[in-house]
Amino acid sequence: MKKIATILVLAILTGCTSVPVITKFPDAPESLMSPAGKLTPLDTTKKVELSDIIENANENAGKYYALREKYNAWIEWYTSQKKIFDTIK
Amino acid sequence: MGQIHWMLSFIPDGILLWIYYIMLFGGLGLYIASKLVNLIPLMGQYKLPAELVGVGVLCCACWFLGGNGVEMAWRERVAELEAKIKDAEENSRKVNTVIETKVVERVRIVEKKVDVVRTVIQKDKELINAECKVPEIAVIDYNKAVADPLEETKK
Repeated sequence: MKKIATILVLAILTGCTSVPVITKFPDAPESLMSPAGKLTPLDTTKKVELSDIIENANENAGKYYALREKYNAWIEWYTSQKKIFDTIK
Repeated sequence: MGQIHWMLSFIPDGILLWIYYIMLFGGLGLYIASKLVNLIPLMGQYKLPAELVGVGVLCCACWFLGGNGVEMAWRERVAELEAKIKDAEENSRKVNTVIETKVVERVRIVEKKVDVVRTVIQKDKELINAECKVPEIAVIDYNKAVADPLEETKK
């Protein structure tokens, strides 16, 4: 009886085949994979002048705009990849 | 029933199809022969077995041929999907290249602009600082504004 059951189970298991179609999740561009940096604070170890504040604001604004570009690129990447993925049906 | 087709998938399709057709025509031939067997002397005793075996083989052949048709339809669908996936992966790579190039270029423009403004500030430094004294509390408040609010909550 056990032998018959084993053969039956094995025979049923042979039906467990999967459709050999695998979609790979797309890789994101390398430049978008770096984590966001922090804003730079003023250096309090020396005497701070107004020009230092403006310079610091300039640097931080640059960081914001660079991050904005990356953020917008992520939106574009997602929208494009979704459009491509939706064609596979 | 899928198990039988799975096991049969190890045999080349061309050979398998030949076997199915041989079975089909063999079964058909056997069945027709069973009807004519009475005409041959001493062969009448084989009428029933020939008829049963003929019908059995014919049924099996039909079933296998039908299964083969379904299998081929699935394989065609799989091939079609694989082609679509290949296209999608290629398009995905193209999109990545376009976005990568665009981001690198735009970030470069931002960095260039920061450098230009920095140079201008350096040039105007004396004018900017001439009539302004920054109190210490302004620096402390500025740094509070710049500090990461989420990092503060961690502390």
